[in-house]
Amino acid sequence: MARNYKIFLVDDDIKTLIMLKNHLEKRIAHHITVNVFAYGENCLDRLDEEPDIIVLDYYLNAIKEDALSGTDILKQIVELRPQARVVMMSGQDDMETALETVRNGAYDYIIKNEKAMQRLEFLVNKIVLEIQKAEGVV
Amino acid sequence: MLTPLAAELEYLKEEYNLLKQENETLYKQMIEVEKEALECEIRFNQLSKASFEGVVILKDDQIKLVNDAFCHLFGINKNQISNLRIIDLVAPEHQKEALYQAEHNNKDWFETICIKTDGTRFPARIRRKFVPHGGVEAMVVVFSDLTNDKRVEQELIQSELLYQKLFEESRDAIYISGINGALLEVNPAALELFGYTRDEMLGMSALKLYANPQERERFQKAMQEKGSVSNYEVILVKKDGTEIDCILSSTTRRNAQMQTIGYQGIIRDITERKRTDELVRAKALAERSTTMKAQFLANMSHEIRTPMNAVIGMTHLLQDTHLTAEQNRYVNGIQSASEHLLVLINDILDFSKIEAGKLQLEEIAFSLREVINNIADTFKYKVQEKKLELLVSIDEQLPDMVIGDPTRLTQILMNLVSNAVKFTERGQVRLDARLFTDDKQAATVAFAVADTGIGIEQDKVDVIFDSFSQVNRSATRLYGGTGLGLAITKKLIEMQGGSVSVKSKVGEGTTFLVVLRYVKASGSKTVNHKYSLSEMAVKPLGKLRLLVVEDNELNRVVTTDTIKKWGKDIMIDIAENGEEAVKKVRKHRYDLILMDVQMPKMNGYEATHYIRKTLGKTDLPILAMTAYATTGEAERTITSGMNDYISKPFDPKKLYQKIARLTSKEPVVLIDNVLESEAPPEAEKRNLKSEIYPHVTNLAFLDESIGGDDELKVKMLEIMLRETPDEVAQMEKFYQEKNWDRLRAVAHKFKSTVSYMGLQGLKEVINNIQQNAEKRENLDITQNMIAEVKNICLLACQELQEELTTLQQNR
Repeated sequence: MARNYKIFLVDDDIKTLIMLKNHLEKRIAHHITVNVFAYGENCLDRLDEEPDIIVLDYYLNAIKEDALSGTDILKQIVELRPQARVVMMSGQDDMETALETVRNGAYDYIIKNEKAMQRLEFLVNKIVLEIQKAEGVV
Repeated sequence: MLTPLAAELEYLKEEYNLLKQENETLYKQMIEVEKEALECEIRFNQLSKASFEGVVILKDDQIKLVNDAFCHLFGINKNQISNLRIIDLVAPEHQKEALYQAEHNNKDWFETICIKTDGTRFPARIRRKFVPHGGVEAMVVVFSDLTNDKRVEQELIQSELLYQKLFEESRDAIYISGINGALLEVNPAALELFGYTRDEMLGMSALKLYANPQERERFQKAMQEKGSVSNYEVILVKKDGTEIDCILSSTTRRNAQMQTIGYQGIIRDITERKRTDELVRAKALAERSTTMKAQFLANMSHEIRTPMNAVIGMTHLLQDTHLTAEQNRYVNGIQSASEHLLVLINDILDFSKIEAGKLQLEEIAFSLREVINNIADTFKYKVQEKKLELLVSIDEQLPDMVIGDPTRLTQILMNLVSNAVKFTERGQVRLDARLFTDDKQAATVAFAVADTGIGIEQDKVDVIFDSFSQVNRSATRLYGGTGLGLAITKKLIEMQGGSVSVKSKVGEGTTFLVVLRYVKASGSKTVNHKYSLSEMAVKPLGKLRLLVVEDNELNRVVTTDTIKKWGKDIMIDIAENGEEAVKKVRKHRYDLILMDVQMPKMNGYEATHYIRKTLGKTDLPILAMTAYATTGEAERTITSGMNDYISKPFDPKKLYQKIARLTSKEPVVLIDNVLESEAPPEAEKRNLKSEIYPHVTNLAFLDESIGGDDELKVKMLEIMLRETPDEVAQMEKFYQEKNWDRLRAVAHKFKSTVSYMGLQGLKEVINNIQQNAEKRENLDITQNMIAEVKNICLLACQELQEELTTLQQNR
């Protein structure tokens, strides 16, 4: 049976979560499970479920002021589950910071605009292919 | 007696032998140890003698051994070493730093300045290592003299070259000054900046460069306190007295004894940058306020037209009552004044709609000839009144049907012809249409409007297309008008990708030339929905039962009273809103509904939807009455199931024609068929619709992303309806609390809301709010921006609610 790929989406905007989840579930041809989180902390709690891909918003403190930022979460993921590919999302205005996160171990980043969903779709397919190669499936 | 003695002797002998053996073993051991130590020392000496580096072996912080190179390096005698401490080998002014490096440096070496016994200083690298020595851990310290180190030398040369180059080529002014402030060295950029020659500048006091002496005192104080100052904003002055805005970064120069010997610094001229910054800020502000004004006006359109509707309508009614000659004159006065006012208002609203980017062009097939002839008809009487001649000539080669916006072309030509007539007292006005260039798909048409009027002065020709300009003030008083006509005309032409030019001579006349390109329409699709102005029917409408749905009482009176005059057998029912209308439609059979679009409770669209879908009355004609006279609104009324529309304030003749047409048993007017058969596919239609005023939202992106999943769309709409008001309220709250960090965060998050709702106009605004909060800038106008966001979001939520209601009804 084909492998199932686990994707965690972390964003404090519920609309974005819904849209991204819907998009991925409809467009990705592989078996995927998408879990969504409004707080990075919850995502960290469930790293033992071994997500393959984690999509992480750079700002996570719009709802809860003291929530950990995307960068903090990234650091912990890199430490706790280095196998997971972390895709950072950020607005146009914090692109510099987003690049910085790539230097800090993020797999890639997405600028939040109209093309974000297509780009995420592309990245997920790319990562799945990489995993398949690494696992000798392809 | 002998025996005991002998025994004792024997015992002692044995004792002696044992001790001797023990001693021998110990001696051997001692020899071994000494040998080892000796070997070690020999090895050390051999090693260290061969080395050029000074080597010291320390034990318990005491110098135990040194090599010859060490003595040579420091000019020291081998027997002087016992009292020496390692730290004494470092030059006193560097001891502190060296100790710090030795303790905190992770590497096993560091570089510093060492001192010989005669006081000479030299750069050295000091390496440390712990080694076993004589059975104990000892520390080896190796001193390397870097004076002749090639690497250091090269680095020095290179860095000197580099600094020289930097100094010479820097675009910022660089200076070195003495302790008294006299300039010792300046780079070419400094000479250029201040306009002095090198000779003038060297030795000159830096004080001379300050526009304000107190400024220098303040700067010097800061220097003394901190030792260095960076990005200090100050006004300096050139040789010729010009003041320049600069930022100044400076550090103190010190000698080996750490005494201040002067200063060095960099000066950057930010005059230009400052001015640009200010201009950019002012420009952004001006542009924002312009768009906001335009938006306000466009939004006011409904509010302004509604009372005008009442005034004009009531005047029409009044004219039909029994009036005395005097009263008649007054009423006619009111009528012409209110019609004039309506023209002005339309001008202003049109202009603001264009400015706000809310004017949408139509793309339909129409006849160029007919547009031109209609204009000729319109001005026939006016021209006769002024005893002028109106000459119209149309090129025979002109294609008959083209695709474009007939309303806007009419508006353009009407404007130009009406100007020509207005400013001409004698002679003629000509309207020519010529085929310019022509290919299979498209034709470029040149329209010329020429008069023999007062003409325009040469220096005014360039500005006549500017907003709010009339050739002269007295002309404004004489001829009236907003001065917006030509500005609107030009914008309309440019929106259609055309151009306009003007030639004029004072006293001889003016010619306007408009060039527009139209795609040719294929012959079969020729449709004409314009009613000829001469075609005025006055026969009674017959037995009809109508329902007027209108929330405004005055408009209700105008509409019903106007219609009642067109036949004794017309029965009119009234509904004040959509809900009431639906109730009445359930009970009675109507021949026609006149439906206001904007109403409380159920609006016109919702009511129509309900009547068509739920009540299944698909044949019942519905005529929309809208105060938004835009093509977009027209389209929306049709796509939402109404048969036709009329804009308020309405022309009674047009209303008559529409009612007559809709209630006759003949097939429905062509315009509807065209719009229905050529209706774009669903997604595209939504797109079109929402870009058109008065829609503020554009759900095209959402729709596209969702891909027709209605359930998901309902969910998203519900979330947006729930979250948006909260988010706006949060922005207001954080603004009130001056909690800029939170305001920034909420504004940031709000961006996704803006993009899902397709609120293009708010993107920039929300960005500005976020940036202002982040930089703590322009906080006073930020409040207005939040207010704008709130207003637009109120509209947006209404639209989302409508969308949601429609979706839920369909499911």
